[in-house]
Amino acid sequence: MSSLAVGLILILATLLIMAVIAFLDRARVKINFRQIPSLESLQKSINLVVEGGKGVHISLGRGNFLSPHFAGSLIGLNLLKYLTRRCLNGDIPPLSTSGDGLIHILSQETLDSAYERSHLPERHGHAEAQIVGVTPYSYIAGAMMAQRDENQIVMLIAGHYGAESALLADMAERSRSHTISGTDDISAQAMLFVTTRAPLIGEEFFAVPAYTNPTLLNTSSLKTQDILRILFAGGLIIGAFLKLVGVL
Amino acid sequence: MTVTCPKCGRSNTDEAYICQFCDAPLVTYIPPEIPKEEEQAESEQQSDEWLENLRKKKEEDAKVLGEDFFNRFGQPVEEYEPDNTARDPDQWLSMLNAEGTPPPQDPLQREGDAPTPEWLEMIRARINSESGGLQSDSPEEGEDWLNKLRKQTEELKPPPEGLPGWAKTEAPLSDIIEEVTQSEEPVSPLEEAPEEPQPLLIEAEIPAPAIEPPQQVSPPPFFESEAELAAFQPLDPSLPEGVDFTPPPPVEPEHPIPEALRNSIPVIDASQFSEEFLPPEEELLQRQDEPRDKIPSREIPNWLSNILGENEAEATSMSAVDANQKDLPVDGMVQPGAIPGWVQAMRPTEIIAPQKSGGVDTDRHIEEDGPLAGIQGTLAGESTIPVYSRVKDYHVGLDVKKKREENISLFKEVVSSEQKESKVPGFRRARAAGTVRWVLAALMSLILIFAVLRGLKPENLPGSMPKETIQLFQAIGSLQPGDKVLIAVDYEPAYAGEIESAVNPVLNHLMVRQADLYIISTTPAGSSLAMKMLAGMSRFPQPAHAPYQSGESFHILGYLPGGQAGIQLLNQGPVKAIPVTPDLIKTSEFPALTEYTSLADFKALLVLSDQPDTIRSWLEQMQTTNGQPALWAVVSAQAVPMLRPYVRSGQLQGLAAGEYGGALYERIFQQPGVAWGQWNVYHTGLLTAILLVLLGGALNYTGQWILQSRRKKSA
Amino acid sequence: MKRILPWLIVILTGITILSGYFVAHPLLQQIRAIILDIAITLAVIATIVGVINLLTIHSRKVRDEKPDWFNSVVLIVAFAGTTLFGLIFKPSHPVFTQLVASIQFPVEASLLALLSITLAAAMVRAIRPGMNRASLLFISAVLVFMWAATGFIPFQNSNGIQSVASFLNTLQIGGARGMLLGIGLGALTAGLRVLIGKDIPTGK
Repeated sequence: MSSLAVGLILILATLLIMAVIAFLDRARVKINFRQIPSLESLQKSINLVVEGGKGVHISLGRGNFLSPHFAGSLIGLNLLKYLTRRCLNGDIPPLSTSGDGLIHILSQETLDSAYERSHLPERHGHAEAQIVGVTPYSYIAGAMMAQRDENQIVMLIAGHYGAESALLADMAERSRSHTISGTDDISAQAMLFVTTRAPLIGEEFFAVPAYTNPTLLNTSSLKTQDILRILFAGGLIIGAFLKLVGVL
Repeated sequence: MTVTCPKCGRSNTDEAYICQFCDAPLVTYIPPEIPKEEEQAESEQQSDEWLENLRKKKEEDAKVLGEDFFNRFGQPVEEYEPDNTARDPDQWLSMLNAEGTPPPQDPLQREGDAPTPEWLEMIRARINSESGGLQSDSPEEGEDWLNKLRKQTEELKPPPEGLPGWAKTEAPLSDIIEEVTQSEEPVSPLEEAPEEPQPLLIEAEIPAPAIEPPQQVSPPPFFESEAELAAFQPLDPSLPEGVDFTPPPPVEPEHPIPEALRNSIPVIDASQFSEEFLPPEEELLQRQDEPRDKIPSREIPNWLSNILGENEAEATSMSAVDANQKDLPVDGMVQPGAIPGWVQAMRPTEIIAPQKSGGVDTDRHIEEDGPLAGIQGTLAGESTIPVYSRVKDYHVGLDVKKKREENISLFKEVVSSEQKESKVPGFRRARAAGTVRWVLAALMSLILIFAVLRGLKPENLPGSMPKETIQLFQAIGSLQPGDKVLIAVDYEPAYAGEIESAVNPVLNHLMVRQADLYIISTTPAGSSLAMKMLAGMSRFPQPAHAPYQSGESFHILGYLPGGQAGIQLLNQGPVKAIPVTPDLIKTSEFPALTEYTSLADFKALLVLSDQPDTIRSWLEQMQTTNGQPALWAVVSAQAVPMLRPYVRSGQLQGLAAGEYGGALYERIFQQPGVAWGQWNVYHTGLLTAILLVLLGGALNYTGQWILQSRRKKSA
Repeated sequence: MKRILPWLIVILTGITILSGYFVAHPLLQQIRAIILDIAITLAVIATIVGVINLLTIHSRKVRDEKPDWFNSVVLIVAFAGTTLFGLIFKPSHPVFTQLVASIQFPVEASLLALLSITLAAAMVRAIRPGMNRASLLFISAVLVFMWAATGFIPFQNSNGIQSVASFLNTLQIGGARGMLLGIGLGALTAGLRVLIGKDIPTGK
């Protein structure tokens, strides 16, 4: 079986499982997931922003939409949408920085829609979405400057990064900002685990939509991830055993 | 049966003693004779005498007139044959003469009333005798018998000083009679006497008829002329025969308050009320400094105002009129006056109602002082008279518990703090973190500079050889001269130092094998990085091969945009993927490159990257035909763990990672390169980092532990 | 309709490219190639838009004289100079290459060096009373592998030490693989949500 066939089967199975779970959970009012301390601190930090009158800075990374890293950027955009809705209650929109042109355009679009939903279209001055660098380290340098200049009290690092994200996280921590980080890169996760207080490790980053916007689709996709992970883990164990016994 | 009020002229009920419209008394209370002890004996003796005389006279008259005549007072008045002479108010006086005419009907007697009591008749007779028995034979002549009576009473002695005020101010009987008959608007007999010469007051006790020497009396007013007066022979002051002025035996006076009314008065027990409710009389009297609201005099009937004082209503204690409190020290305060005997005699006889079953009726006040002392069911003067005093300060507080008090105080603190501006902490560097970084940077810099300046040959080179590095070496060694190798420069400028130290021996080996190198990049700065990389190879001598020239031995194709999409596009051929170089030279003009050149025409693909994802992307997107092109990789040390499975699976045919891999490859190749020159510094830097982390961590742990201990102690 | 049409195009495009991976039809492959060309072009245009936005932000900063506006002046001047020099002289010109290499490469290398110092300081701060077991394990692993990278492994030629080293390498590989699996599945479901049109960041 070629890898393409395996991939096609995987995609179809994912869609099927997602549909079945959505059908089974359609009558549920609320689905309880395990507590993720970083996401709980996100809720508290947003309340702090609204009450304290300070700003929040969300960094969306530099994921190219032509690469698999764009999934992390999509999660970051989801977080930006959630954050904007909440922060507009305190009349302080979040500052969004990105390292890619398309992510920058999408972040502007996200802010526009949030303002329009809050009936504040004339307030959006397009200054809340910035592209601060087109290369990884230039982007990190620009994000560090934006964090320092705007004097934000909450920093969200959500997207695709490299090891250079540790500089941004350290900058945020030194500026006494509450930092919440999440990325799809392994080496960046290792860096952020040491430098931030509330890191999202591994697939916790992809659980953000289900926790911030618990629609039926988001919750069912999260459950689908868990089911597939269990299936893969089981398959790996069985395959290792079979190889051990000489079958494979 | 109704009674007409003498003041307002309105009708009142028969039982009323006070007019319900103007509060004027309807009954003129004539106190009974209550003589003193020493005088009472004399009076009794004297009264006995005149009473005895009266009885004798009565008996004699009865013999003459018959028993029925003297018993007519027990019969209805209607049975009495009215006589013209009897209708005259003064006719009763004529009944007291020697002829024994029956006393006239009491002028004060109301219609339908009982006949005049005998004792009253006796009094009148006595008065008449004292005044000379002036009588009028013809009442129709307009004689005013009341005037006569008044004049007779004017000569009476004034009452003693012990008489209470209300009794003093009371007009004498003659005045009362005159007012009743003459004034158009009957006034209360208790009103103030006019400023005219005060008439003689009714004394508390009617003295015994004293035999006084005959005096020159003024002619009574009922004598119209002196001729009549001359014709009038004064009566012998001595009692006429047959007239017995012996006072009748003391009859229990008629209670002024009807029995029904007395029984309806509740008995209030003063002992039920606490001192706070009913302060003692002394305290009431001492409340002179306390502001008191005084009842306007217009709201008080005149008779009451006369009792209480002139134009004022002051709370007084009934003990003020108690005759027994004469011994109170005089200290400038109102002293209670002594109650005369006749006032005390006014006290109605208490008729105790039968006890109700089921309990004692405690709601009956028993008066202790004053003329109503001992009587149950009276209204306490202190309770009826409003006492205005300062309002007590009542404690209006909430019975809150401690927790609520804490919450209340917390709420107040929150509310008060809302108005206080508190500066929100802004950007502030963490000094501790900055100090650590500076210290570490300084130490690392010093040590590494020392290592660089030392310039010794590398020591402690790695002994073990990774398999992937050996595979790479073997794969490159199998190249033939002129084989095309595509090199993808996909690392960031920041990792240039590490990648260049790792790729330098690999490139050197490729040049020794005389492979044609075509360089592309998926990053915009890749071309510059490639140029720098190739230019850096000239720092080390390379005697094994001729120097590579751009355009001859190696060609830089340029930037491949699109990431993975670009890599997919590269599968169609480099010329189609990159038509023009950054120098605007067509890639089809390069030697060995045509429009039909595909990726399979390359012997190998060497990817230079700092990220494992880049290698993975190349692995996933690149299409191979018959195992060609082979995929080699020179990566940063951080990407090795993620790429080892690809090596073990055979997807990656060769791998060299970081400074360590470069040093190993140079060791294999036996050609010193960049890694060889940097190994000592690299090795020293690693060891320094390990030692600094351990030492700094221990210091930080100890310092934090001491701080926490101090905080716990202070807490 | 204004918002539906773009996302309809996104959905159709995604399905076409995805199907082109699995279906080897020439027409489909041709369409897929065209779409990829368009996507690459759009990516470059988006990069240009981003650069324009960058210049706009810094220009506004200079105009409003916000804090550190001089840095923005340097950025704008450097951008302008590099652009003009590259247009006048070709990117392969040695001077241009030397200019870029002497400025960009040292700056980024310095940032990476700063990163190493930052990580070392972070690890020093992480060693404190009350640190959790995950942090303890992480720091221990870092120190062990740093030591292993130095080459000072005693008896590294012995089979036992090599077995232990191989086991440790396998541990880190397995952990990384597990995380990559989870990340891959998350990316799969996120992409599928976009394909079915339900996860639109700019939508309601």
